[in-house]
Amino acid sequence: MKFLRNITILVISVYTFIACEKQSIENIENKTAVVEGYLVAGQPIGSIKITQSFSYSQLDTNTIVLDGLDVTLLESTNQYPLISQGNGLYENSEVLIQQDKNYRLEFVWEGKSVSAETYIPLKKEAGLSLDEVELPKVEFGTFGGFGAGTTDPVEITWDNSEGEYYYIVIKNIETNPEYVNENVAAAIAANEGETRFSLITEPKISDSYSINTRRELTQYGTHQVIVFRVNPEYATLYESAGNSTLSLEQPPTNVENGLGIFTGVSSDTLYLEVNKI
Amino acid sequence: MKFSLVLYLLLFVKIVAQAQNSPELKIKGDFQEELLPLVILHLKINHNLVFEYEKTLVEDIRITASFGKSSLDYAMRKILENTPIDFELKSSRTIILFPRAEKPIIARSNVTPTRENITVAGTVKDQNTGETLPFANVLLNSTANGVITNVDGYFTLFKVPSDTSLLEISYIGYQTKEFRLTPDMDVTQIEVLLNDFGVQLEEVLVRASEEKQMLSASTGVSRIGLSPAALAQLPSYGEKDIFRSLQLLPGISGSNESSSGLYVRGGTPDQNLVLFDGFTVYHVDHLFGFFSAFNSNAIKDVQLYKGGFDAKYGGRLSSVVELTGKDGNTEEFNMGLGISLLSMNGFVEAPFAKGKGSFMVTGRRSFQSNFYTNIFDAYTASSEAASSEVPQPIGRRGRVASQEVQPNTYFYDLNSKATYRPNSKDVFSLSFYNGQDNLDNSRNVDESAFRNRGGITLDFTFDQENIDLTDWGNWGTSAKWSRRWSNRFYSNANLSLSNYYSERDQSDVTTITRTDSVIVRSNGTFEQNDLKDVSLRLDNEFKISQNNQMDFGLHAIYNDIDYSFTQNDTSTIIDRNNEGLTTTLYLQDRHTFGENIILKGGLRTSHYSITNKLYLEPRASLTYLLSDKLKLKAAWGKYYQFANRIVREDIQQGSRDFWLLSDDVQIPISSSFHNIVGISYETSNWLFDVEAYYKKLDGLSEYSTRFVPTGIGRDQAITYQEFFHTGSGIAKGIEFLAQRKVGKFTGWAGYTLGEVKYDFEAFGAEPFFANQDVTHELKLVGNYKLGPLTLGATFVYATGKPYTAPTGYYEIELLDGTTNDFFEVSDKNTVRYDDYHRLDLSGTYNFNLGNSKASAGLSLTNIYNRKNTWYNEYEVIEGELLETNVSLLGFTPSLFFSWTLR
Repeated sequence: MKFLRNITILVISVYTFIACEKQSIENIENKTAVVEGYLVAGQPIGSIKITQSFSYSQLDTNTIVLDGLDVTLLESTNQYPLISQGNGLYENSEVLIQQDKNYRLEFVWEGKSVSAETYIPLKKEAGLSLDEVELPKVEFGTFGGFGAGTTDPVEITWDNSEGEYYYIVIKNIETNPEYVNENVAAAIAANEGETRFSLITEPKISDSYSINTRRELTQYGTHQVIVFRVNPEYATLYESAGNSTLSLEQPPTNVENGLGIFTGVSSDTLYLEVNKI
Repeated sequence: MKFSLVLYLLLFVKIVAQAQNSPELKIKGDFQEELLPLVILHLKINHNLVFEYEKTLVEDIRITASFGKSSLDYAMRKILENTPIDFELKSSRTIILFPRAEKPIIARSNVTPTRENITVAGTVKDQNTGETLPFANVLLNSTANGVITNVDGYFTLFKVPSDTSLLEISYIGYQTKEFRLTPDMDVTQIEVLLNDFGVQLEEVLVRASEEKQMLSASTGVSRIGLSPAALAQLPSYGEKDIFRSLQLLPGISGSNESSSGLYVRGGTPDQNLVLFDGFTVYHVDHLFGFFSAFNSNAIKDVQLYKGGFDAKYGGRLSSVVELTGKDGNTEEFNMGLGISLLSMNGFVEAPFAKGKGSFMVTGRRSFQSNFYTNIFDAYTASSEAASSEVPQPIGRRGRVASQEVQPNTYFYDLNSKATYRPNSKDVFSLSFYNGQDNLDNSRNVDESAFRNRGGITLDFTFDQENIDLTDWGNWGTSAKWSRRWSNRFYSNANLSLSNYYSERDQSDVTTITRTDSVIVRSNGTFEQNDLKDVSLRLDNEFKISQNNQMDFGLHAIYNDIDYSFTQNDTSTIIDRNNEGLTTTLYLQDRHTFGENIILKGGLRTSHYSITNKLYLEPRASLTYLLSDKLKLKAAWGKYYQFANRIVREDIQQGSRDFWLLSDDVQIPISSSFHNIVGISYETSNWLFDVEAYYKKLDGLSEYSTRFVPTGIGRDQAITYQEFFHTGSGIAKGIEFLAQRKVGKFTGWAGYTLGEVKYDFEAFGAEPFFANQDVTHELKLVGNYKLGPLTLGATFVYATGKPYTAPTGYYEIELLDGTTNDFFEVSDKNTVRYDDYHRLDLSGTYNFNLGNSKASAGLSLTNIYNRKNTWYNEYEVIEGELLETNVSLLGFTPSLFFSWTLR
């Protein structure tokens, strides 16, 4: 049994050695620049945010923003410096983003040249099958209203022969929106108080969206229907964002020497009235 | 002289006649200071026994012995325990008594040999069932001249000095038998019947095949045999499990509780060739891998080659497990039943065609019992406990929400085999296997969270429905014809079909409800893999002389593999179909020099249709006997693998892998080079064995898929791409085994020091530890016999496995206004799980129920409830970090009961 004893001693001593050497997540320091930049066609360059990724070891619970960097936006031969606004935000309100053009973002941090490039997609005109929807009021304590009013869905359509990514945002823009169903209103009021309705779909290769008037429209008033056209790089990130995958892979990014997203967006805004009958 | 001849003739007739024997004789007795002649008389009268002895031998000897219904052999041993008398069973009812110091009459040859320098051939069988015994040792007594039986139980022994020589036949799990040749025997067709130890099992269940005298057996380097029948004495989850038991050997990782697959010497389970009655089995897991897919009741013999294997085997980089199914009882009908808290099993076997044929059907199915629920309740509780132990805070907000995972699953398997021996030369057999698992790992998460961002409190609820369904299984069938053309030449033809299929539906629907909005996201993947294997194997053995044997053959394997991957129920993203034919010729020569050097050299040549190239695999092994106890060994060889199991990058285990054929363009043909040296020292009670290995691996693949935007500007598109990361690796290590082979206490201690490093350009410039890397592994296995009770204990300690962890994260606000957290991921496999260790205990009680046999057992696995990590899950949803700690099973008691008619 001497053999066993020797083996045990060997195992324990080597184990102690290994245990000390073992790397733990808490000891790994990250220092990577994170870019969050959306360039919207027809709008000035606003709110490009540059931060630093978190380490688990980081005790500070605040986002580390990277201010005061020399950030440049390039479009063809044009160079636009971006002005640090604090809080990690960079802007240049004098430059309007133009569709169908490529933009490049560049800065240097921690000795590394960080850059990203994107394309501003062309705006697509969208159309609504109805401008107006009529919904009966559902009084508190009743179920009523079936059958009356608009029952057909509202179709939002646009041309997507190129197979690009689109998503829809529907927003109530009334200051004091009124609920279609008072039961819902009462329940919500009990919790938090009334707020404006919004519906956001996920980016998809699609050329239409159908609004189920009874289920999806919960408030009366003027609604904005915005059709956003986005780039694949965004759809990729979104795909990964909603993913409860068990895999641990570095998330997709189009930022070189960094993380995050820098992408162009264009949109078309329509209006839909939801009226009471 | 004449009398002796008649006696021997009778003996021979008896041995053969045992084939048609009635059920085994059972004797009980209670003698207190009884005179031996009276005891003998009692046995003669009550049990119709015949005794042969000299009168003076038994005079004045008094017997005190007490035993319940036992076999004759056991009863006689009990009776003669404290006497100077030994015995030998001449036949099932004839007993020879002789002084303990002497050889029995039949062991002493007083017959004049009529032939000299003869060749002896025959078959070794189980005395009770008539089952042929493969890989049994047949040795010319007191010499180094020996052979092992082939898969049909045949052997041919050259240069036997005379036709009165004594043979010693031994097989793991059976009593060693001395067999005297007689001049009137047909020495080319002898039949040796061995008795299994049954209740009185004293030999250990595992033996390294390097028996000191067994020259031919010891030619195998890194080879181990296992007796499935004896596994009940090891602790288990209620089922004796062949692959689990193999994991207790040095050089095979024992900390992969979630896989029954064998990680042999730094290899992965797909690099291990599993042959069952000649067909390849591609997936060996049941129930997350907690059980292996083989019912040990259906298996007669297990041979494991940890490396440096013969030219006869190929197509895998690391190791070979060859399983031989039971042929079925050729003597009489037999059946058995077994039940544990998790599954039930049964078998039926019977002879047909007057014992020329036999069949066996074995089945097993798991069921949902309270025990099952208890396991997983405990499982869930342990997860929660584990997460509270995690140093807080992980994540910036210091919030970790744990999810509960309660997997739901069942499995079944079915084996059947029919064997027909029309004459002494031919054996035909048909074998069929099917096993399947259905695993439901779906879960529901409901979280209400209050987040504080910029002083505004938002209230939201979050509901996630996660569907995770996996079905996988195998079926395989083989038709075999083997023929002993002569004592020198044996052929085996095997045509087989094998199919592995796996389907996985993993999707989730997340609903985030705020007071003013609802966001619904759905995501999912659907994977399907279907692998077909049609193989023809022709294997031949040609014994040129006592010192020289040639093995040669032809293998043709046709593979057809389909793999499809669908995302979000919409489009088929990957749809692969590969077909390939591998045609192999091999030749191996084993030569013995001067009775102490055995040299084996072989060449395997394969043509692979996809690349249309030839692949040469030279192999060699050497065994050098320094003395009858001390032996040096070495092996070397090249190994190719054409069908690869692709492992996803995911840290999650389970069925996230699929098989693909190499094309040498995207997926390289993998190869390995084995270098093995070792030394072993063996006495009759102990075996000490050390082997060191160094394996070079090339053409390894890892696979990943992701959406990748390509192009820039107007032309940018998003494509789903497959990435085959390729690389190389080095596995090295040293294994120690100390084994106590006989006695009341048997068992072994095994220690392995190992390292596996992969070098993949895609994962960084530096080599990294492979997923299966384990630095230290210690295993202690012990069995202690207390009469009909056997106590077993196993202890496993292993260094934690490496994994890739999130080292941090970052936030991005998306265009829909939500803020998402993304992981920043560490370098590949830089972090290790906590060390793995576990102690299991068991007790097995064997008893008789009337004339039938039964055994009952209790197993206590993970007795001190160690929370060994299976894997960690990290998830980021709406700014919340969800970490799920999935532990392996905690303390689990289980019971089993089994019964056999005979």
